[in-house]
Amino acid sequence: MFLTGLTSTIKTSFKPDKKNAPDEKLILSLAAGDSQALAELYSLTDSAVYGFALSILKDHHAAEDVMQETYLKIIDSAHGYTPMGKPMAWILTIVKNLAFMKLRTSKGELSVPLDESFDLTDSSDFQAESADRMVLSGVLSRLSDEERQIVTLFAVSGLKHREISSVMGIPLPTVLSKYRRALAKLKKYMEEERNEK
Amino acid sequence: MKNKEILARLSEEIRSATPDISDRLSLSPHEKRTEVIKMSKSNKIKKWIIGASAAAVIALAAGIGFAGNQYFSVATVIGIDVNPSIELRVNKNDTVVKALALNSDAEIILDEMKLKGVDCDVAVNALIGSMLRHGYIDELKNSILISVDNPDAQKSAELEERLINEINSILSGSSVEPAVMAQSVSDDASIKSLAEQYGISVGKATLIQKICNADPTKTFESLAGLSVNDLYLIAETKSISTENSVTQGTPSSASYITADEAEQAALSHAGISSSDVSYITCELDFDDGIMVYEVEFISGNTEYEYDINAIDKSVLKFSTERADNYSQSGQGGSSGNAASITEAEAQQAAFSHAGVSGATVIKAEYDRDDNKYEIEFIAGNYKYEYEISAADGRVIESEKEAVKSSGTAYSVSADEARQKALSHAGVTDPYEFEIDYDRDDNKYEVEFKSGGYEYSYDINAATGEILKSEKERDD
Repeated sequence: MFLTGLTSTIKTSFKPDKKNAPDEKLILSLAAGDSQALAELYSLTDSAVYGFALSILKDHHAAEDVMQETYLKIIDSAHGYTPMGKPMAWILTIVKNLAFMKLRTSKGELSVPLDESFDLTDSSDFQAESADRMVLSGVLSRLSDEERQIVTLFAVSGLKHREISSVMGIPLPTVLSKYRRALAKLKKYMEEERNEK
Repeated sequence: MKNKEILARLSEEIRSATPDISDRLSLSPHEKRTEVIKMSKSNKIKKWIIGASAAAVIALAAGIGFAGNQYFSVATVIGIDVNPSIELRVNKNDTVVKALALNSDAEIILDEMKLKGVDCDVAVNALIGSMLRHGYIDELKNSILISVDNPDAQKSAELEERLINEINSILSGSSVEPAVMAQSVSDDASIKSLAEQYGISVGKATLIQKICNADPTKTFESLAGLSVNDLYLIAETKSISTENSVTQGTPSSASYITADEAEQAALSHAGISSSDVSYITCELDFDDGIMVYEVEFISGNTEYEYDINAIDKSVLKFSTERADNYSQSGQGGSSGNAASITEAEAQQAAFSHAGVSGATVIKAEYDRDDNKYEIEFIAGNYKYEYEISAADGRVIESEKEAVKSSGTAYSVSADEARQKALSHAGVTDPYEFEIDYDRDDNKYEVEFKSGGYEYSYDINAATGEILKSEKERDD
């Protein structure tokens, strides 16, 4: 069964990972002015950056703004980056700071009803209108702020609970219990939605 | 819906909602660079065009979907076959120019999508996600065939790898372990006309042609109606040359009986016990319109050939022949890693090495990679762990451990504990069964899988009481 043998060798090299996490070297190359490093970093982190910003701001346009500011900030501050393990945590901390700043400065402006600010039926915002965004709308409508942020980080960042706890500045046990609660709520939401259909 | 699925779906939804702001980054006044970066949304590949402003204009134009000639000219054709067969025509920036449904299942999948102008990775991601939701991909049908048609071999290989990664990343959160076969297809007119004739994709036609080449008894026509999963299964048992292709994962044969069951069915029909068989092979094949196991074995001086229906175990064909030249040396020649001794023989070897006559076997597993059996059993007040070479029955490693000093260590035997757990779970066909005795707490820890679930039990070794039971999705 040579195919089986082949399969196993290939398996090790193509191990399904949680999105390829960006490498520290990438930030260092970026600091050295390597523009291709930016392209790579962007492609590895865009949905994590956008998703986390969205989970804080609950607004598509505001999240998109923060996304842009985040990458500009990364370009500006890459030279000052101190290697510390995971660049993803560093990047998400930048997202968090920018997003909360935006939340503070635009208080009031952003408090449009969710349905208007993030129109899930408006396909012009999105490129691949593949399906209704059922889980995302559940995340945005049913969860508390922290639950939403934690569960989103968990889905998009590839970070572990412990790392999420440090990015969010929330104790680990709280992260764990909120994570569990959030998923239970989502499960319930999905079932309700399904039954309605 | 399980947590993992919810998270995977959330991740996919966020991914598809993420706006592409790459053009804004490179044009932003904050960034005083002359390069224009054209970014792809993929995980893997990065494209950039550096320097000259003319190049920059082209890159930018492509980024915002300028209707230039180059943008619409097809550079690569990507075929995706599950059962829905879809063809993506992409330009040299790997952006989808056109998506075609090649059969009615594909129309259902494509119906709800607009893939034009989307990066091919994103398109594949969306397609696979949709096939998963529509039930075209599941534990029983996990095979995905990706066919890349690009004259540049290196470019094809690179695309194949990217798409495999993409498929893995989207399915990593689901319970489906994908079996992906990615192949480069050549611009072969005869294959293309066959594909057209039978209304299948060029990728599927290429795979069928490979099977026909390897097995002249097969006709293109007889295989054209098979699913990719079945084709892949056949290709695997026939060791089809994987030149120009990359495979990953194992196609699911869960909708069929196992090779063991097929062997058993053949042996019982022949009225021969497995211990009297000196050589046995079992191959999944497609014959006369159905999936069959071809079982061949030798007992005494007779060679038996059986076709066993892979769905209901019925005997479809059998023949016997006098085997003159087969002896023990007939085995092992073709493949270095074949178990020459049976599990029962391995157990016997372990028992006799341990000097015990009867024992409760708590684990017996064949390790294909090292071609050995791992046998664990309890006899008297000892637990034994053995590794037995599957080639010659040699003891590779042995361990003996006292389970409890007193003679009445446990009143419940490992077998009883096993029975207790299985009947509580309502499971009759466990696999990856493991039972461990925990001396400190005087309990058995029982673990097994069945029907896509993983079960875990703690059983009190003194009373047989179930201390803990857990059932979770095995993924």
